[in-house]
Amino acid sequence: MWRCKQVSQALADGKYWDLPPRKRWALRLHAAICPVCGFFNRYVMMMQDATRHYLKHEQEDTPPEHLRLPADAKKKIAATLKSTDPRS
Amino acid sequence: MTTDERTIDPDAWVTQHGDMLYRYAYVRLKDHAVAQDLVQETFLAAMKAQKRFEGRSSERSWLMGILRHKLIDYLRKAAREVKIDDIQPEGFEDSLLFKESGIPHWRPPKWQFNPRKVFEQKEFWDIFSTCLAGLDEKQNLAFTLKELEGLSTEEICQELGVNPTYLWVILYRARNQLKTCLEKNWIKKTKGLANVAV
Repeated sequence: MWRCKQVSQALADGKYWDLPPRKRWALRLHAAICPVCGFFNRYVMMMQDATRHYLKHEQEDTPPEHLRLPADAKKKIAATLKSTDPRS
Repeated sequence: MTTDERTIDPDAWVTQHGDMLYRYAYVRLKDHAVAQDLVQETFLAAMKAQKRFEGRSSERSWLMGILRHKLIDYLRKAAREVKIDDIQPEGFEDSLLFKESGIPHWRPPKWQFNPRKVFEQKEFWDIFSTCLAGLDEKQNLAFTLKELEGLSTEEICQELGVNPTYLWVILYRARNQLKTCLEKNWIKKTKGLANVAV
């Protein structure tokens, strides 16, 4: 059984879903039932889960309007690429 | 067909990948001009290296990989210039509970909704990206290097010039700020109000 300090340390050192399945299971079990560190470490795990999902969506979803490359920047970059294209 | 076997159309390239690359850079940098510069540098580097692209991954993944390297280089330099001297650890590292258990003596605030229930909704991730870009400079830097780019605690502490406890405090505050922003804007969204406020 993991101790609170080990769970907190594992979460601080890296993302818990990178742990081997058995360790991840033991960590989740501790966080689920521990009256001392459970609330806090479940919170950290939730944020790490959310971040992991975000990274997946970031690769796939079209960005919202205000986070898209502005039209003038697109034109400028395309012009720079054309002027430096080794094939042109 | 690999990239070197076809003619690159810069307009099409920028149209197809420009938005995704730009969001990736802007969320982590909070600087429109630098984000645009890095996107341009990425395309230029990709043009030079196109013969090395073997098509094992998608073109977008390849471009994202190039951008990621450029972005981490930029963030490492930026990290050395950010002053962390106003971080207040608030004495938690000296508390008996922290020393014994490795957890702080305060409780994080409860969620006002269950985020796992909205993980499949694109609108939630749009808000998430906007809230990430809205984090304070130091928090954004630490959160990006640690949680988004996966650098080790040792590497980040070295770049930021802080000890692991201080980094832990910065990350804790980043999570809280992110959570507050997500709650505020998701609740606003579900009530039918628009515009994300960070």
